[in-house]
Amino acid sequence: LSQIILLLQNVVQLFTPENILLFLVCSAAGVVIGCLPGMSASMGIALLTGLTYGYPLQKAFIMLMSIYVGAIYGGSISAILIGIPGTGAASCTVLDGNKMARKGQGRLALNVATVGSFIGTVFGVFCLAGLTPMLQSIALNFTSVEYALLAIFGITICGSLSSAGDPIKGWIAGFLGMMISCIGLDPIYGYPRFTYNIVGLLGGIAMVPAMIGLFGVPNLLHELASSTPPADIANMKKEDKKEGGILWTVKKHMRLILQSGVIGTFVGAVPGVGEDVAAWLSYDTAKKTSKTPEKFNTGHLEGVIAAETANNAAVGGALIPLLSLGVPGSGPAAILLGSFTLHGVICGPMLAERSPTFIVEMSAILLVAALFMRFSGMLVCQVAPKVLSIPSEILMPIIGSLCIVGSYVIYANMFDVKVMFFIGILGFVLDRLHYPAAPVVLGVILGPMCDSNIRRALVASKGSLAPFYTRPIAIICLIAIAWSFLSQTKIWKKCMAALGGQIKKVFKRK
Amino acid sequence: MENKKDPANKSAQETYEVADEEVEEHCQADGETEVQAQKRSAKLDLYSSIVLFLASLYVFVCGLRMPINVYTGSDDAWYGAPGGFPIIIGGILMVLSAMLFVKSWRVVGGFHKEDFKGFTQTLKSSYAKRLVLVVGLLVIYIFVLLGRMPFYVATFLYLFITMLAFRKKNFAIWKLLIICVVVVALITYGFGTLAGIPLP
Repeated sequence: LSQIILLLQNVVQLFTPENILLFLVCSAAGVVIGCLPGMSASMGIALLTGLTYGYPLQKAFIMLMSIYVGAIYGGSISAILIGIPGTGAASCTVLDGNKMARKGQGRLALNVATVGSFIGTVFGVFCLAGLTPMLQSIALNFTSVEYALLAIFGITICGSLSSAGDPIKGWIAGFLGMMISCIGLDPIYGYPRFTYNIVGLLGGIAMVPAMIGLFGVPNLLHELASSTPPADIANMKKEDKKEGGILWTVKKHMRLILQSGVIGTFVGAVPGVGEDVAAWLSYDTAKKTSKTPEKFNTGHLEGVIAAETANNAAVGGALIPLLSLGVPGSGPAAILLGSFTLHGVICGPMLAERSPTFIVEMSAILLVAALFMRFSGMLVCQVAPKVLSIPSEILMPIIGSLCIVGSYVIYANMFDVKVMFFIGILGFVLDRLHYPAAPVVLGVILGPMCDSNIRRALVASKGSLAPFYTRPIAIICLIAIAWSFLSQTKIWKKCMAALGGQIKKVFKRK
Repeated sequence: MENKKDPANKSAQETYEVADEEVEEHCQADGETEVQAQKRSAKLDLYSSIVLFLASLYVFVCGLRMPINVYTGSDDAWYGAPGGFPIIIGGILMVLSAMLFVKSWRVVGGFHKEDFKGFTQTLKSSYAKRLVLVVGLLVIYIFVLLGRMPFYVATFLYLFITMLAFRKKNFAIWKLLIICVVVVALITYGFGTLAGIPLP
């Protein structure tokens, strides 16, 4: 209860005229970024990270969190109106949202998506404020061994879940990111690795140019080279004002909202899983538990609510492992980890000791961001058809200029812009070869943590590997790593299916 | 008889398969079946796994060549060596790229001369030509224009030339000019002056 009172106190303190303006502008910008196909929440955060560098901590996080929440919701607008998800998280919303729009219920679908996203975020925030301190107290027992293993687990699980159907590529992407992180002075002795006498490389590959390069440049190159025609916007009719409002939605779909909120938060909290898996899982569960499962995928309101509530609840969920363990829960959260580090906030179990109020402050920012997302979402919905018809040949060069400003701003160094360009070319090649970008970024971020902790653990044990398999938490981490690998194999899937069948039979007999 | 088409009887797996079906439809719309798309992807994986293997072998060897103890030069305390992490990462990547190679080899069945023909055809496609133009314009912007002239001039030139090169024929040039001026003014004044952000 004291945590909730503290949270509400922080919420009240956030309402200053300057903050309100920031929340409004950034959440609207986030919604626009999310609704534009080809741009994502990760890209929005990556672009803005550099620009927030000179800002005070609170204002910087207001901007970043508003963009994050807004973009995850914004993806639903294009998913509903043109059938193309603006972000991966909204890919599930297309199934029912776009069909509703084609039937002339576009406005109702948008209203319900807005309400669902708002409630989902609020649900996630309360879980974030409540669960993070508990997880942090467990993580206080972590040593170098556990941190090293946790970094590897982050890479393997992110690789498994972010690659569409081919986990090997996801793992390769993650370890490739770790390989990139080897460039520069080594974190213990300061020995130059892979620097080739280039002074600019001694400091290593900076996070922000790497993030912008991997998320911004591939989209810029592909969109301009492929010359995608403007999308076909579905027609919208004006609905009865009572339908699609917050009270109407909550009253009619209370159970579904709660169920999707819980699924979204807990799936989001699994490192590396993210908002899109949360939405699909919630949609599937909603279909199974619905009284009218046959209506799903035909333009059913419940499908939109399930997907949108869960993907926004996953935002709060993804921040739980990020703040408590330093391992991000999703792709955009991996980018946020970089942003936090840039602003001097080191995520992990020591965060509570270094800045005891940080988690509550973050939760409060997220809560207010959700509130403003609702308002700016309603506004953007009005102009969305116009925003969505901006041709890529106009939009993408502007994104190109923003990529350059974003990567230059941190150290005011043109070398970072060149690094961003080369990593962007690498990112484009990886993208064309269907390697996911999120594990690469995560690898770049977690690489130094993994490197220094493995070596520190080995130095402490004088070269013995025993601590890696004798400490209880390390054993859990090892099992988790093994699971993340094994769960992707055919044998495992067959075994699990057989086991599931047996369990069902036992319950049926009873 | 069980009605398999009944949506109520659909399994959970089918929900996830909807996205796959859409991808298949898209592939078929492009005149390419799902099997062909899988083979094309496997071919790319086959060649990319070789490149990755060589890159990770290079990292592995570089790691081995790094001094074991930076300060004393002795061979004890190998566990703190700066090359340790590149060796581990290089080794893991070698194993993973070998796995990818074997997996794609099973689908493709080996190297074929047609792969190289397909590669040269891809290079001649309009997508590749447009891509070269986009990259070229970005190279000129970053390596030639920026730093040699004020940021707003360089950005205006990049924006205008890129938009002009890729514009649809019915999009008026005066509209492009207005868009470029407004965007440059917003970035320069908004970020540079109002927000106090250093610009290149």
